[in-house]
Amino acid sequence: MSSAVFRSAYIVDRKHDYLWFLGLPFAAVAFAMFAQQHLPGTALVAITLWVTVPHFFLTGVRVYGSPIEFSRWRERLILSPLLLILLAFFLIRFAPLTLVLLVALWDHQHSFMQQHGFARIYDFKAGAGARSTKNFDLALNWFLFGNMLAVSPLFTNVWVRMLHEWRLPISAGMVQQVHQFCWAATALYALVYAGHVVWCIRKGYTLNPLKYFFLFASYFLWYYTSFNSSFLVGYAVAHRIMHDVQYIAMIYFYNRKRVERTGGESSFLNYLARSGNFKIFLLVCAASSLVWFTLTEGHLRNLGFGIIGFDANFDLFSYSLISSVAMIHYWYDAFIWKVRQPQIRLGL
Amino acid sequence: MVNISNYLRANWIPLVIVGLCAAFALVERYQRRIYEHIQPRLHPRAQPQLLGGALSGLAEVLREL
Repeated sequence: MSSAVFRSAYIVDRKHDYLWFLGLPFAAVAFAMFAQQHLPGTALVAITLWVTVPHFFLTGVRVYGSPIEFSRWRERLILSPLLLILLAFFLIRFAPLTLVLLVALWDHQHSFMQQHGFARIYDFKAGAGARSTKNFDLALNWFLFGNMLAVSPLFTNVWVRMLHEWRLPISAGMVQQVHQFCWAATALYALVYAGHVVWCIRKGYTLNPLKYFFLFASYFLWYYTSFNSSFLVGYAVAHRIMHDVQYIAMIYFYNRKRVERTGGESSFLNYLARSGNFKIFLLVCAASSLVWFTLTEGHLRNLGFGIIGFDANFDLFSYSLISSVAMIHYWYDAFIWKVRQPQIRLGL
Repeated sequence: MVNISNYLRANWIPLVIVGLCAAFALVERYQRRIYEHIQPRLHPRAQPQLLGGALSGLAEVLREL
């Protein structure tokens, strides 16, 4: 679609965008609703792990597999994993509520920032929006996601429980007031956002309709599943399929484009980018899940010739890897995907 | 030669997070010692669980909602 007001542009191309970015959230919702009714809990957990682990792993492939990326972020890529692994270990041992709070909040922020990043790519590809549009988009994501966390029955149970764990008990009446306030604030911001869109049109800026459809699809998934899932794992199946599969697709196409445009930065990344090697890419993803299970479930003990894994802290350490790898992923994603940076644009 | 200040400057966000977590951890340990409302850990991988009055208080709020 191209007119004076609207200009469509895709992240990858029409076929892949409808498959991975625009259609996937609806398929994920349908699957999650079916799965929570008909599959055992263990199957739901397995589904989330088989997509979640590779998406953590691919962040590492992107930054540690490329000498250029590594030298660019050297100080962060060396020190921060050590910091975050130690942090998770000590929190899990001495302050587990703090760890749960940190990982939960960071995970939520990371989730909507990914969708915000993809929305930014839609605007970048179309040359759409004003300079201020990214700020309005970011605020929209904070309001919509924050409201979902605050008002949905699923997450209301979670945050009310967390407040009780922190000895900040809240009454049912107060919870209802929080709900009303959040709905009102979100509705008010929706009006502000609509005003910005109208302002863009009047000033002659183009809009990319696919960005709005993408945001609608993403928030449809989050709101629908958080209002219609009885258990967190039902929401998690839909959310993880959308978040992780979109991320894996993004990494794959980003690497391919980068190799096409720059000739590649390492033989491994070049190898993964070859069109015939998509199956190898998927096998590497699957292998990462197996390594993850070995490390985080304490199975390293069985492979350690009786030398490692028998210390009392080993279980805590292997368990803390789950949180620390997640946090490393959140932290790296906060700086390796800045759309405004020319080096990043080489892969978009 | 490793330049320590470069490392610290580049990692200021994780360092701030570590600092905030330390503050929260102190509050958590204080609350748990005063109120004794969380079950002692039975297994290294066990999640924190509410106890006694805190648990029934939560159940009451969730029932009302």
